[in-house]
Amino acid sequence: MGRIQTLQNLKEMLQAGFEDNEALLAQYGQTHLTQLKAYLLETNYPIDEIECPLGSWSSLGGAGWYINRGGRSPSTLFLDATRKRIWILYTILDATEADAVTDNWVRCIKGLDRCWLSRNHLLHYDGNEAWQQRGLGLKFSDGLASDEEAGRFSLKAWYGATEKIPGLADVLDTAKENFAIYSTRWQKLKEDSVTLAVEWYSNGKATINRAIDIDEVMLSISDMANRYEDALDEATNLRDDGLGAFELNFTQSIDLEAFSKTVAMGRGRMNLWLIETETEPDFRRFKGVDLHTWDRVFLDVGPDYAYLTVPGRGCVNAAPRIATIQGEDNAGRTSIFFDGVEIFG
Amino acid sequence: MAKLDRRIVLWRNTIALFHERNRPRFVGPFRKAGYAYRVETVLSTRRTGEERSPDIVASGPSGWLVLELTCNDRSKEDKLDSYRQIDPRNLGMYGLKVHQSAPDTICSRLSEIDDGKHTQIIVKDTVVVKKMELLGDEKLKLALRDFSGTELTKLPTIPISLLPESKNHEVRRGLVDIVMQIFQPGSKGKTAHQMVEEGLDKLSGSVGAGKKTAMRTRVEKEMKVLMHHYLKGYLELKDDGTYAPTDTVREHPKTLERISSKLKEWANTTQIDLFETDIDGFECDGQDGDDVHTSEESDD
Repeated sequence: MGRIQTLQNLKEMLQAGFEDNEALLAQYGQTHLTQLKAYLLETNYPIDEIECPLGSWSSLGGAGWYINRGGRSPSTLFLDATRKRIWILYTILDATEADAVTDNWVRCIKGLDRCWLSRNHLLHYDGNEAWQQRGLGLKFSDGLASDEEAGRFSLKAWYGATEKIPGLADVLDTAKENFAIYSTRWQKLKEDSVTLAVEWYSNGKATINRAIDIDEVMLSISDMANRYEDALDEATNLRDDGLGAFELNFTQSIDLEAFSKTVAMGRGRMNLWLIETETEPDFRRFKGVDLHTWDRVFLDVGPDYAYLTVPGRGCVNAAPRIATIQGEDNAGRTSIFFDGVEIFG
Repeated sequence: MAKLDRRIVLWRNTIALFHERNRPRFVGPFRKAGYAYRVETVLSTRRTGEERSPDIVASGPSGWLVLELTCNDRSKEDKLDSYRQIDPRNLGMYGLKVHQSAPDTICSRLSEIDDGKHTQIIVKDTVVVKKMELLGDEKLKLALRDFSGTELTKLPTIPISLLPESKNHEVRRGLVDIVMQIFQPGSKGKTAHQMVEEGLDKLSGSVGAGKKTAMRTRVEKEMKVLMHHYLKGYLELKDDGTYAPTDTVREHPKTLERISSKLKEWANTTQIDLFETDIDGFECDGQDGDDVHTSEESDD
């Protein structure tokens, strides 16, 4: 394989990887080559204003696709920057390195964030005949409790043999209703054969476990990017048209005192630095900044709900981020509403 | 309710009437009647073309209305009378449904004052609607009747943090999050002018330059206290007029906690410290203009 100069070259290279993996799977029962990963990223800037995390970006034929050249691990990052607000970063780096590169990139660049997928996004294929759910990841860190008292919950279930243990499916359903989903595993079938197996994570990452056609993979990832971009546009319009707030509904009760202490220090996974400005036993108002972006946010928190206001031109991606992270950390299953209608779904 | 944050509460509780919440269940009467609203609009009167800038204009399938928000104890009758002449054909400019009739005129307040022949909504802790019979929109009338008595104490904060008449502790409370943003690593800081613009949020365009200058002066006064007493060593005023973090500030949980603790003290203690000294000069009871105006003159 020569130097990747065009999008077609990139597709050929990735396609060859799928075919090699399928051959290895057929021969040895397992794949060997690094799986393709994709990260959905939310951007507020054009590509020429954001540096490449490894080396520098080089255009692949000028149609909004880029590859990293020079630096460490060249030709391992491939960016689909064809959309205005949502980019797709494809990579063939191993998972640990790919996660680290992406985390660091997002952390260092203000205006760049992950896409935070809601339950509805993660279960998007549910009901689609061609798709079958194969697994589920749930998380509840109980992040507001002390280490000694935290009732953490974490579960990763691969579907397939749940019927062999009576009652297991019910337990999974109950857990799914009460805790945040952080990953879902799906496979796409065509004539009883798996053509695509993918695991989606709440932080916008997708791992391609199996695939036979790169176009099918890219289309699937692109569909999710489009859905997220539409949701972001809708939320931005709602914010710009009035003075309303986003509403977050939780399944777990929030310890308001612990919440207040945590956010006063800008500590914890939520990464919110807030000051309590009004206190009632079952309702508190907070004002401050979202340390991911340093945008201002107002959060009014009740026992099982919160109202989030993003003033000025602050990025509304804060709504799904705060909902996702707070859900996994301390609030359980979380849904976002505006005027009683669920959004980011 | 903190007495001195009345204007923000007035706005917050009025805006909530156009929205809906799941928890606790809350459907605002304007929302129920299908009204969409806009703030910061400029409309003109029929024939004469004189400009009018009501605080809120809203339109629904069965009617449209203008809302005046005030803590002032003077009657708003004349002003509301003048709103009746607004030409409804321009509503389309703001994406609102166009009607042919004159608008319903409503004054939103925290306490009852005689506003003449105009409907009044008192939005303090619970909603009270006065002179409902003056409304032309029957659907809205019904929604308001059903809504009367609803509690308003736990409604979402609105993005507006500062109003032109915000004083002392109100300015401080309004600035809390704006000041916190200054501590972003690599921050170039903010000028008092930027802080005023951010605090006004969507009302910025409807506040005249003179009022903004007065607000800037009040911000500078409160920032001076913050810089020299509460956040001494953390915050400095640069030669170019920006408030910026000092070189010693690092993003660390202990530092952030100390800054937020001091900011909280600065924003809250003034309720006690300044209330006594400022109460005579405080304008919420109608000693001066307390509303948002497009022009420099007070309408009172």
